[in-house]
Amino acid sequence: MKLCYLRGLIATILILLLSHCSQRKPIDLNDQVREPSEHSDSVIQVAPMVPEAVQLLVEEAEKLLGKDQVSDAILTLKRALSIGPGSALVQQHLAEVYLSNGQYQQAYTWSSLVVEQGPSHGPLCERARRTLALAAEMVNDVQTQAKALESIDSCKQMPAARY
Amino acid sequence: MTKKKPSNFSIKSLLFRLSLYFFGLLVGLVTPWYFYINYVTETIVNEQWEIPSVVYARPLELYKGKRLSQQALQFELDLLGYQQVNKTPQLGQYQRYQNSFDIYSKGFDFIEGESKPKRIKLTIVDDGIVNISPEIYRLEPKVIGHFFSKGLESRQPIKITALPDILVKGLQAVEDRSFKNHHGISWFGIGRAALKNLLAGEVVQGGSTLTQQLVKNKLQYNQNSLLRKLHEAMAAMLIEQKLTKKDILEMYFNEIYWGQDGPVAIHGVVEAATYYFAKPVSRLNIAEQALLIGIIKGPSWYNPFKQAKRALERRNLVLKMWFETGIINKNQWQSATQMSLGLSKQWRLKTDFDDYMDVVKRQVKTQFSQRDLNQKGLKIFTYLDPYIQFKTTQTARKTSEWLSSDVESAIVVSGAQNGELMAVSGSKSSRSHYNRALLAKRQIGSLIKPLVYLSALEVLPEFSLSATVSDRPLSLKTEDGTLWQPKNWDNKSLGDITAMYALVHSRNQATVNLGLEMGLKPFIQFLSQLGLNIKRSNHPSLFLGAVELTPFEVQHLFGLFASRGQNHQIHAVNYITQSGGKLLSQSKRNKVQSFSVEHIDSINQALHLITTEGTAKKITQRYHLKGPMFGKTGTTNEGKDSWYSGFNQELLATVWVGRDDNQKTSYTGSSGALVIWSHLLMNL
Repeated sequence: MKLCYLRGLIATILILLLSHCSQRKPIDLNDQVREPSEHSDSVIQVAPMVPEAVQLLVEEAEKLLGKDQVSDAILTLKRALSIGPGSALVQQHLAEVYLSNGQYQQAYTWSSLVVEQGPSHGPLCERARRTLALAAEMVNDVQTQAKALESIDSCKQMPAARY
Repeated sequence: MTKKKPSNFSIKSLLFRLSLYFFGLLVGLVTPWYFYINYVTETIVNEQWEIPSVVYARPLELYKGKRLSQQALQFELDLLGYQQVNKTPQLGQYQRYQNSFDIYSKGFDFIEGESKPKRIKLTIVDDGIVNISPEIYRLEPKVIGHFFSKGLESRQPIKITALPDILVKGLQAVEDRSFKNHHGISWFGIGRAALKNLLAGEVVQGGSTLTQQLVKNKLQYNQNSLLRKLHEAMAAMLIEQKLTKKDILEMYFNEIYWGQDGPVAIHGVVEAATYYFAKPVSRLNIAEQALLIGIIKGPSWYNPFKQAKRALERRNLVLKMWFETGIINKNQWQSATQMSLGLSKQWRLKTDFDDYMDVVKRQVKTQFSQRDLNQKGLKIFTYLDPYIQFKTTQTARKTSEWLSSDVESAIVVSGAQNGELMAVSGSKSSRSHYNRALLAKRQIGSLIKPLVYLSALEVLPEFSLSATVSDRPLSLKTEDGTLWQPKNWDNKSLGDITAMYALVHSRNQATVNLGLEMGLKPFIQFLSQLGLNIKRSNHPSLFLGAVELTPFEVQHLFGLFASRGQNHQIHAVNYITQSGGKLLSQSKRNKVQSFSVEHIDSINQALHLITTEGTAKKITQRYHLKGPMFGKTGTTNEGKDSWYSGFNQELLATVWVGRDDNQKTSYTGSSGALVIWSHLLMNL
């Protein structure tokens, strides 16, 4: 009888421990995605050309995000995407907003697009891969997560060695 | 002998009997009648309106660098009910000087923030905005449809506090001056009306109060009988007991009948302002408010679209009454009287949104019940581009002129990169309600070839478009024992050719040989990744497009190429909000099976060559369409179906031409659908 109680207790502790492990802290975009990417020391820095209107809307979306108006920020970014379809900058912002809002599948989809078709050097390249890695982790796609993390280095084009 | 006293007894008895009779009458008739009327008024007071869901087009975005012709902007402004003027524009007006536009927008409350009314100044050069102030602005979206409940009533409720003061006071001044003082019926009003009618020898004035008019509208009596008047009076008095004067006025403004837009009854001031002036109520000027109040007396008699002179006289009479009662001052009266009716032109523009609405219905009904759509006043924001829809419809109408009268056509247009559905035409005729773009499943012929080659690139490791394929005769015994010997369109076999050449020149034998090398199963698997479920999967004719798809489904498939693999879903609905503004649903990008961008680019290279030297070279050589073009023609046996699906950087369009009875025609993809497609792009 005592053994049964003991087993039950151990199982409960284990479940609690496991559930604690699976509870991840909310993702901090600046800490985990943006700031590490801003310090990219790649000699090739690609900043995709976007119409001025798209840039204005991205800035507006950032302000809305700052005020915690997430769904408004998403709609504003989608408005920007209607103006500049295929814009990697907008797609990356969308992926980040979805990531910070816990919509990991959407974050995964949008960041995959940037990884596949966006710039292959510079901060945006890094941001996309970091976002994809985090989103993939949240949807338990370990393979994509590992691949995305590995490919971060490919965004850095180092200066040629001098002899 | 004793004398009888019959008189005394009989009077008492008579009085007693009469009392009993009247008591019986009271209990038997009046009481049930009272309870009936009480029940009716309770229903009126507690009634909840069924608010139809409204469907909007996309709002037109204005910014520097936007591709927009002067014609397209003018079309949009007219469609939205803006008035062109030759002076500084006021709200809802615009001035055009050569290629410059000065617009005073009406504003719109978008979910992510209000777009306030603003002066927008812009210049268009070579079909593009070269400068604009402010830097970015979007015009209000056009209403393209409703989801109605039974009765086809259109209404959007509004609080009385949101109505202009002049409108509220002006209604009372014209329709019921003693509104504040009576208890539902006005004896003075009835007496005055009776006297006037007696003097005129006919009914020239009604004595109904606003409350009685409200009851009349609610109960929808058709006759003018005494009993009806009694019902009305009784119900009006009871409503006055149950509601405040303010509530009654609010109900009146939201209930009253203001006219007829085809089969749809216009109820309430919000819908009336939209229908007649394409404006929100708060932005109506005094003259417009006066016209609305004037129309109430007889919406069809004073219909300003049909009886402009009569409506103008009525409006001016209302303005005079407002001046006499001190609601407006002399200056306001004089300037309002000078104004034109200022009606929106929108009702005159023949744009056909019905085919597009079919797609919206289909996509929305998967998320919401019919009841919610009919009653909950949802706002559905779509991607429809009114100008492109207008041009698409116009192009379809010319099918008989450019081809022949015995063929039909269907056209689908969407954004090339984002899959936003811009326009749909299901027929060449406005009388046909059969939406071929959505419903007509037809064999797609050679349109399938780019998918065969893409599948081969994905499946066969050594294959590329520079690889050699065999364009030689082949003879296959199929499962049903018949011999199948596909031929090329020119009845020639070219031997060894590159896969690129085979795709560009649509070689059947080379394609089937490649398909056989790949295998039917992997190809069917590939198609299922794109959402196509092939039922008859055992015949190699699948490699030549022996599969039936609708033009809309073909559009999905070619979306894959147009977006370089990003998108193969075409969406009509952008997002949906509740009437209060809460976001209910928005389009989401589903995770798609990712294909190699390199492979898709190879196919796109072939699709481009098709428009310069292949089966669709007419596009660049005869119609001289500019910019890189991509596309593929498709023809089925004996020209039963003629297809072209093609795109440039901005638009993807699919055109089908054929006969409804599936009989042969003289058209190939190049001589049929391609002609319509090219004219469409030339006109945009």
